[in-house]
Amino acid sequence: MSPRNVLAVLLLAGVSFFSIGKFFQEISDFYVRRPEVDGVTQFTSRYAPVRALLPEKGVIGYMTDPAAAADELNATAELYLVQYALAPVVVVNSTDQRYIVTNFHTMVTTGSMADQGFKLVREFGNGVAVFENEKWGKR
Amino acid sequence: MGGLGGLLLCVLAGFGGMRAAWPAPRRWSAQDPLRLALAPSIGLGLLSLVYFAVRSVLGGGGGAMGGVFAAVALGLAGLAWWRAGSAAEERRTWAKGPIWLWLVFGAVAAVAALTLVLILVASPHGEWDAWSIWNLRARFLFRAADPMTPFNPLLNWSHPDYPLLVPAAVAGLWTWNGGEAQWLAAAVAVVFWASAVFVPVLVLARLRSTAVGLTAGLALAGMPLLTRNASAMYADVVVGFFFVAAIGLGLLAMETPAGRGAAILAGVAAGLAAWSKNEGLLFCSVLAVTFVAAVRSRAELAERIRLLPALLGGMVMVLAFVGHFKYHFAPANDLVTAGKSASMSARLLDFSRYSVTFWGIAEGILTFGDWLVPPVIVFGVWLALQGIRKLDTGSILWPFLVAGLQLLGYLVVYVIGSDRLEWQLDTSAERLLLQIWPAAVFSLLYLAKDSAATEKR
Repeated sequence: MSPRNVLAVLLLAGVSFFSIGKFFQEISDFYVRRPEVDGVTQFTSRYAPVRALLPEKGVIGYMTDPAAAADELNATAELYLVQYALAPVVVVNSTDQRYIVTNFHTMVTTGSMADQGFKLVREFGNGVAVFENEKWGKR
Repeated sequence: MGGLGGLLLCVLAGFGGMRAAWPAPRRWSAQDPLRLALAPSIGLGLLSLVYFAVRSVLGGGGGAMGGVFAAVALGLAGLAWWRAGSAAEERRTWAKGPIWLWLVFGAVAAVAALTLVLILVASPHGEWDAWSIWNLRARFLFRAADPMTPFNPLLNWSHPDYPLLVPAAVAGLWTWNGGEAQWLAAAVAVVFWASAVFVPVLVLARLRSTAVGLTAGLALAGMPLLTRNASAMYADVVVGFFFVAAIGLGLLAMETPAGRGAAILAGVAAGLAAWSKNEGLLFCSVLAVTFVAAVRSRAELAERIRLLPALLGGMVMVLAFVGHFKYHFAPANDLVTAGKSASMSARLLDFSRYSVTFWGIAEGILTFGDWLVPPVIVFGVWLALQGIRKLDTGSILWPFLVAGLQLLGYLVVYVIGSDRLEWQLDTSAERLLLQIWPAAVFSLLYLAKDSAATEKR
């Protein structure tokens, strides 16, 4: 290789090496401080017992608390993660279904849900429960 | 058999397919490193096609899929064995290349691979688009008895029109595994990242020199964005790999005795690009048109016309699956729907959209790749030092033309198809540029002069 070729390759090699090296350093710093369980697994594992309860197919409604829904990006991410956990059952962002699954971040009583026409089917803890919509099919 | 067995079967199917179309004698041959580098990705593509066909056409479940794919892999291996009987000896064309360059490339590739693995271990489900689109679809395909379930209109937010190579390959591996295992989805990401780095290295080493191949490898392995996108389990590296594979195989068809066999494989790779992401459909047209248009003499045109049926044949084999998916399963693409909602001609005549798109892409190019110095500057200086080859055949410019027209196609789609132009540019321009990056690196390296000591032609 001529000196010009060597210089050209060294230029590219230097930029590549230091760029990927810097990225590696960032990732390795994050890696040693990472949580024991990644966020997606942590969130979706709350729904593993719900999935065992659900049929092989169908549609289920979804409810979260208004405070959580206000943060649109995070609320969307959580809805999609619930869908990721519960596939192949389709999760819709609506309570207009016979059954709904919840994703509450604050305390909600079964009494207040009953006042809205939702009867508890089973509670799984951590804000996750399945309710039956008593108004379903009556309109 | 397990997920690992499924992966090995993909390598067998891919290698068998490569040698069935582009035969070589029964012993290890000179171009087998390249065939082997292509084999896992081509094999995963075949697995996804078989999985989709069995689930959608035959209505079969996991057992049927496993049997059909094993039969396909063994059939291709048998065909390769049979064709090897009359295959010509392959001339050894690999030069060793400078040892220091091997060491630098090895170090960059090792650091990048380690980074990729660390991210995949820390985030085994990938980033937003992975768990809301690609891995979600894999779960639907694997878990649902009815193959139509993932295409329910209630799931339109998950882009059910996106083609199925990645999710169907993951679901196929889970079927072999007998259950969901996230490491198999990660393995698919690693395979395509490795292919996107090593296949251009080997093709350029074959067509130019080992030094040029390794230089391309440095530009690809050393780009943090490529590693970041692959570890996010998005499909942009996948489609980018198939773009560069199709171009590389197309050049092998034009420039080497591989001829029609490589042209078939180039067509298959282009078809698999369309089976990975919708952008691959544009790529198929660009590839086919430029294949016969980028010529500098009548003799070159005659040769391309001779190879064209093979290229189109390979492409159509895969596009038949894409067509079946689009016609029977996928809803209309959101850009197509958006295109219908407003007058395309009004958008075409709105010159402010050209300006917004141009500056959006220009900004994307200038900040692209997470390199310490923008690639435009690095490659500008690099080209000034290397110089450009004499353009005595159309094939020298062809890869550059394909990459350039693909980028132009993206610009046109932004201008006429997007309802929310600025938002779309902000969220997608970087990924679209990444899709073209391996082909762009390849085309620049192919276009540049090589050292007199290692130059092949």
